[in-house]
Amino acid sequence: MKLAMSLPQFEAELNTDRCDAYTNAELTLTLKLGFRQINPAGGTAEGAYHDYGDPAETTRKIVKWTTGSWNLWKQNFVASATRFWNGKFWLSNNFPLYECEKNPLGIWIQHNPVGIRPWDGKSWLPAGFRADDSTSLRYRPNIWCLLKIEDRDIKLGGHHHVIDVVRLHKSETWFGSHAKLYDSLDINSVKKGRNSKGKPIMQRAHVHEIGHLLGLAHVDVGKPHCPPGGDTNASNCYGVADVDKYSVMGQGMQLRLSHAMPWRKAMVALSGKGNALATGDWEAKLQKLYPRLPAEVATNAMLTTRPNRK
Amino acid sequence: MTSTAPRNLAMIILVLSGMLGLLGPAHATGKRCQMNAIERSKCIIEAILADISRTYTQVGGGGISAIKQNSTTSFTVSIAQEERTDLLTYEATVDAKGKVSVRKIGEDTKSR
Ligand SMILES: [Zn+2]
Repeated sequence: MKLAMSLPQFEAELNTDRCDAYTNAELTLTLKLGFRQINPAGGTAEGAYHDYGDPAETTRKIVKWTTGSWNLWKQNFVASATRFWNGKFWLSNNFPLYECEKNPLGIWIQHNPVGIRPWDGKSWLPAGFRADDSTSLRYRPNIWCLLKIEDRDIKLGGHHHVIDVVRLHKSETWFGSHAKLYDSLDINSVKKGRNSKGKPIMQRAHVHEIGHLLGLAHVDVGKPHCPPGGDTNASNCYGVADVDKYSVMGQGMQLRLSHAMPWRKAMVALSGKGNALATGDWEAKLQKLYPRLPAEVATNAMLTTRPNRK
Repeated sequence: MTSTAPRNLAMIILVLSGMLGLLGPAHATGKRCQMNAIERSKCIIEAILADISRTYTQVGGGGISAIKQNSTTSFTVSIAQEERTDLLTYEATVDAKGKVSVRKIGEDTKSR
């Protein structure tokens, strides 16, 4: 079964087609991005562009994109941002949803909102097959969180976000980017800040920006030094304590369980069950959680090591 | 050896005063500044930049993009960062002997 919905920020699809003792359901968020080149004015090979695209700000030297450099940059962007965010979280399924069972005849059947359907090894057959629940092994799959970033041709329209990109001259080391304006160095790892011991904290800007596109805020938003009603881009919002600075939504590259929120919200919307603000609903882990048997569900066991199943 | 002792002592005092500066809000350069306007503003800006070097940890941005004088004794330093510009406002006092102290009185952000 595939359940899909379109949200303003991204698309969400839940795939429960495969379900067995070791296989979870998959929730894929898709970001459709349109990239637009910013080239030197007048078709020249070299030129200048202002930080943030703001004429009042400092200019940086830029060069014209070539077909090769443009395609390579986009490929690197998509591949490395996907590698960072894709498949990192698992959500614990605390609702009796999407369960499958292996009946005494060895046939897998699935319970879902449209009824109980047997599995013929390729697809779920029409409803009507009933298992003997007393002797069946019923598995409740968890949710594996996937991210797909689509580099969608700008001419096609239908993008969640359109991003302009400048190609910096080799003499430049920095450009003032924001969520809709990137530069060619934004996929590189750069020194973003330093910790309390003076050690550098590195970040690749584009993975932080993808976090924003998924709806994530800066690490310290909500703390007294970064109130939600204030400017949440203030420097304190990027973390004051070292542990917060290291977050990808701070100055570093570390994932936190709170970064699973876009997937948790999507699960609430797709399933109609739970509340993303309740920590026990669709609880996130950074490790694979194996599907559970009823007794394991009853004790809320989190199976992070591969269980021995018959 | 004895001839270097006073210099060592002076260094220790300098280091200690630097450490005390970390604790207090005001940062004195200990420098005697000439009292013409150019020299005085230069002294104040140098003291502000020294404070930024000590206290501003988000070193990865585009650097200082502007220094603006708000009043005779107040300056705002703009620092370019991804997604934002940080605006640090300082107030300076210059005593009769020309000794400069600066104190950060505001931290603001211009979002992009
Ligand atoms: Zn940000």
